[in-house]
Amino acid sequence: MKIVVNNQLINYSDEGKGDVVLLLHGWGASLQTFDAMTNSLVRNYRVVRLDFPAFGGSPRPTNSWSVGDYADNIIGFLDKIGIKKVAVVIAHSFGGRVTIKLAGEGKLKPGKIILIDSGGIRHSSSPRQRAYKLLAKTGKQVFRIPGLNKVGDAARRRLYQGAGAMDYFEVGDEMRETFIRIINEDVRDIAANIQHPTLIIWGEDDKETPVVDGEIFHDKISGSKFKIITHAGHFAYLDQPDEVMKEIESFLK
Amino acid sequence: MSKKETIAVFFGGVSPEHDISIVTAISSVIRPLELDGRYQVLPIYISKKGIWYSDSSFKKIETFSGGGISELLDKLKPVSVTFDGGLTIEKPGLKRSKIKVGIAFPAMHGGNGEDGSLMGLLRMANIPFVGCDMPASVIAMDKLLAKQVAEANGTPVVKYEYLYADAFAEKPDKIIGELEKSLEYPLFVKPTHLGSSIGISRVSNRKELQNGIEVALYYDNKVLVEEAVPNLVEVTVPIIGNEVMMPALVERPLINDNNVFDFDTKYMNSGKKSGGKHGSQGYSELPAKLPGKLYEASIDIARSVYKAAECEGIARVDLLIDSKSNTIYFNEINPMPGSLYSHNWRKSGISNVELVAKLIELARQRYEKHKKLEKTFSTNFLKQF
Repeated sequence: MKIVVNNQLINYSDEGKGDVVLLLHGWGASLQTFDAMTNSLVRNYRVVRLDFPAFGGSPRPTNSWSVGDYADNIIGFLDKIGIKKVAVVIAHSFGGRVTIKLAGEGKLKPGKIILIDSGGIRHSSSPRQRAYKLLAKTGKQVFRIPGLNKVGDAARRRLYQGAGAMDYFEVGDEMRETFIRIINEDVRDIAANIQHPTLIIWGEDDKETPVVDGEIFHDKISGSKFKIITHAGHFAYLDQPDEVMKEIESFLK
Repeated sequence: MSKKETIAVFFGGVSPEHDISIVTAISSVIRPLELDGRYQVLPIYISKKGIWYSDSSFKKIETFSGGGISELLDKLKPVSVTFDGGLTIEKPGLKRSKIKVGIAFPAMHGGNGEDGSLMGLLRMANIPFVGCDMPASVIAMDKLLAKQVAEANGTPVVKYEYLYADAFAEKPDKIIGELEKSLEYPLFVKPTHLGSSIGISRVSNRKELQNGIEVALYYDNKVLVEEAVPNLVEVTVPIIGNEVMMPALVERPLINDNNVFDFDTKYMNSGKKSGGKHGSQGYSELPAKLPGKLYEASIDIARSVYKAAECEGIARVDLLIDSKSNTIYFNEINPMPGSLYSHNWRKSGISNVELVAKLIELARQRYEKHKKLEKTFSTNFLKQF
């Protein structure tokens, strides 16, 4: 289904009856990555999922967005479809970053929060990564020189790959500014304001957002529970769906 | 050995149906043309930014499905087009080449292509091209205009109203009030110019109507609002031909849980509901199991609208049937059916290679017929200056 929220088209799904569970996906993912989780939750809850603008069936915003813009879009969306109370937010990666912003700044007051491999901690780059990023940046100017501009993207792709910044490259020109604004915002201090019961789930082998990020959030969010899932990476809920679902169900009881 | 005639296949384009066009062009046009072997196939890919490119790798779907298309386009230079009494495509680069196009095969879907704009260009270039001409494409790609043409032709259409973006932005409540006075829920809200069911909503109350109009206006400045048909059976009739029409089988597409035969049901669900095979080929009942004389009546109505809208070459006419009252309503015309509806033609006994060959023949016939018409008029008008 689609709806327009402040001139932004949003693709969403709304299934089941009961208390509202809101599912927020990660960067580059879509609401479909929650299909299996929705099938379990929909027996007891009204499960609402959306594609963040620029992902899945929601088109790109016309300008660059901050985490706050994405958070405001969620508030506008809930208002538009008439949801006044969210019982649970389950959020993965970038969705976690948005959830921390929403709950930590008091924009949304969910009954419970579940963060899975959440984004939001800014790490300083390694010397190698910094060198690559600088090279990629200066390379951008070099590859604008006529004659070199046609090989620019392929070469820049290799540089970004080396710098561990393929996310940045893959989003395309229009979204790069948004991506930079988002990864540069560290939300750990905002997380400290969260008073809602929170479960933090982390894949033991997560390379994108390492387990230490989960420990930081666990430390910042008072009363939070922290669960590490073995044999799981950044997409813990897809790598170990049964294990993650067991933790979710136990927390929601 | 004589040189093969060049067929330029146009696809992609600045349209929400860009990706569907790629599949239509490669699987249902380029591949059959290559199998036919009589033509030199020149793929002309129009990027989402509207830039025209040509490269032999465009004949393979992997070029587009593998994720490397942006990189490839960065390396390629756009083609240039010369209107030299015909149409010549110049491919730049070290091996610069000029290719005279003998016939054009538009495989575009949606705006900026299927809507008559490309056909206008090809008319100006004075070369034969496959499919509906400009006027029929314009009518077919405007759901409202097509409905009005069908209505004037005496074909039943469901009760409808329409609105424009500017008027709705100014007085949304007034317009919604008028719609509610004139029409009865449930209603369908549709952008008038989009195909593949993009931006369509089925609404049952005022709030949903408001949201549905906003979604439709996201895609288009003109929106059609029409009553839903009760006891709905939706069918579609592909037709080829110019003056002499040849219908394929009447086909009954499946609809999704929201009673909308939408983009996902058509192209993304791989026909799961029917246990079918892939994409647009697995979502329907073929031939449609229609009671009594409804099957033949559907074909008659489809032919009648095809003619009234002056379709030529190929088109698909969609119909809505109230299965209790047995009333058949015209819904819309699709001047370039996705993948040419080759699965239906195949079941009708016409292979994809034969279908493409027939369409080329029809294009030539129309071109020859138009060529015979006197297009200039001698006067002494300029001598007075």
